[in-house]
Amino acid sequence: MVEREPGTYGTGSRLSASPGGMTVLLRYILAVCIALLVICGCTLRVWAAGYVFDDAGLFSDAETAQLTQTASELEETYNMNFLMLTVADAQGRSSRDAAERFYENGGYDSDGKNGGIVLLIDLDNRELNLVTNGEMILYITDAREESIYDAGYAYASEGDYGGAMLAMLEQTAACMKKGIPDNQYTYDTETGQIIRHRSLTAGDWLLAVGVPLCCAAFACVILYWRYRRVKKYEYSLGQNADIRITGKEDNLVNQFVTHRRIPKSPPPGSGPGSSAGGRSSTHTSHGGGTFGGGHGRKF
Amino acid sequence: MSVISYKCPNCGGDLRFDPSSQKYKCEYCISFFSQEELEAANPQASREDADAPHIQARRGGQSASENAAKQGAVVYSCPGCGAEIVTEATTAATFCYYCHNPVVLKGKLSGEYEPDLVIPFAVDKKEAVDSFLKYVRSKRFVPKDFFCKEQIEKISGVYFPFWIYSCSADGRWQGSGNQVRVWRMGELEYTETKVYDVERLADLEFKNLTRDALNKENRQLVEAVQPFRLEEAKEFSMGYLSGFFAEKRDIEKAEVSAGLEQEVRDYAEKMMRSSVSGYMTTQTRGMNIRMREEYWKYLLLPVWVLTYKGADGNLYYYAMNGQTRKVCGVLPLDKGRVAMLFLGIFLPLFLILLMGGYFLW
Repeated sequence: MVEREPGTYGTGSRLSASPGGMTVLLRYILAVCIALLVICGCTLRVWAAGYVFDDAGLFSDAETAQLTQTASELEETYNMNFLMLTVADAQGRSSRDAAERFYENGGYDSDGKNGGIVLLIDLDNRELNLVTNGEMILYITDAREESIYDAGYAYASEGDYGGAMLAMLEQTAACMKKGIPDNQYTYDTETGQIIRHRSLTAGDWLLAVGVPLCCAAFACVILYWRYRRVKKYEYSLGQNADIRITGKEDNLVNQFVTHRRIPKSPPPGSGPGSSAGGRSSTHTSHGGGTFGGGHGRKF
Repeated sequence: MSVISYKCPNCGGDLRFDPSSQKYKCEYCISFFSQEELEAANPQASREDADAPHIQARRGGQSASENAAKQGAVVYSCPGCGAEIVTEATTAATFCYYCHNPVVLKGKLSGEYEPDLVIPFAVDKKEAVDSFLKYVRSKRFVPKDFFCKEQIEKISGVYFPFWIYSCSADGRWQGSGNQVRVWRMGELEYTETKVYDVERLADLEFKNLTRDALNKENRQLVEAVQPFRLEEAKEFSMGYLSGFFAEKRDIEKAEVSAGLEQEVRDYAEKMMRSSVSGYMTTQTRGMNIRMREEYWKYLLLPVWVLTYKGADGNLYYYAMNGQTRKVCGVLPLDKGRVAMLFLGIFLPLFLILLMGGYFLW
């Protein structure tokens, strides 16, 4: 006689069901793992497609986070790429070439944004560098490029690369905030072609509105004055009066001489607004794109 | 006091002074008479003494006359129809309201009030209306159809009393003058300043300074239509007033003499100072003027006046020189046209400067 205890049956039943449950559990675990991997992968990809590309491992996590946050804010404001790259081995390339290849190979030149900048710390060539593309060329003139190197140079010389990159990014932000300089023009170093940037500044608008407003108001006031006021009659001295000089005396009562030193005029071109101030030099990259900057500074 | 109405020797019609021919014209038989012919034909024509029954300067007696007198008005009888003519105290020539005959109130312009000179009207009513219409039509910012000819035809020719002042004077001007010379030597710039005491003595002559001798509201307009060609002034004759309104003076010489003398002093200083030459700057230290001879003339000047009720309901006053046609008065402005002028200047300039800002600077 075989009598199944309910409990046995039940247990057997549970035992028989056990392999299927494990499978489901494993499947769940697997799905969670896959999901985690996907999420992590995406995160990693996002990270890889972010703002900071520390190939040389120069930045701390905190520095990376700060740079990322600043760059993302700038990107949101200007709709341009703000990329930071460190290189330990330039593979025999120049800093400029490395930055340009990074920009073009990453597809940043065709991502729909208005332009971008790559700030580079190249340990191989011991050089700070930057390249600009698109509308960013107008903002970052040669003079402003130098000011960005100035900002990062002291930090880089002392080995504070995180500080150097942050200083260069902040200086870039300061330049962006100033807008495109009034006297900006783009100079192609290869062809010598000059393209002037045309834009209307607040001063242009003020002049364009203010001067016509004053002229039109003045004309209306003159018109009102001529129509609404009765001009008084003025006695004509020329027609009705006559003078005949009968006595004339001119006596010298005082004479004095003063002198002053003639101020020297400043040398030509030393004043503000000299022609080099607004120049953005451009060149063609290996990939055929047009880039500004790239002058670099050794540290 | 008497009322004069000049009659045509041919038909007995009223004679009026005709500015176009500068003669007296009969409106009925279209005859023209010179001044001499008028005087010969009207030695006492239509001229009656105040005691005559139909020519009275009544200042009492009747209630209407009393009321008028209280308001500063004077009542006369028309020599043509006998109707009463109520005038202001300063009115010297007018028209009868009933028979429209021109009448000259001689008593207003006799004795001390008799003008020395008169400039007769050189522009008749038709020419005055045409000139005024031409004037307002040349003003492009006056509302279209603001002026209608019917109202402008109510323009009146009025002889206004004026004082004319001429004088000769001895003047003495004292001041200082600076001569400045600048030269450079090496890196230094030298400035030599010479200061002179300057004195000028001069004989000065001023002719034809004018002052309105009637205190009325439109005084400013009447003064503004000057200058008149005073050399064309003629000896006063009542006949010139026939066909026009005329006013007698109510401002005496003494009231305007101080202002005129001050004006002469100001002009004298200006003239003597400008006669000093050869100095970079001059400063007045003192000036004396001694009047040598002074001449006063009382004359009547011809002015066409118009009170116009505009389409906007406001009253506009205009005066036109009866000799030169110069017009003075406040003109209404068409707001729409002024706005167009504003935009006409603003928009092109705005676009030019905007394009200049974009392409050039």
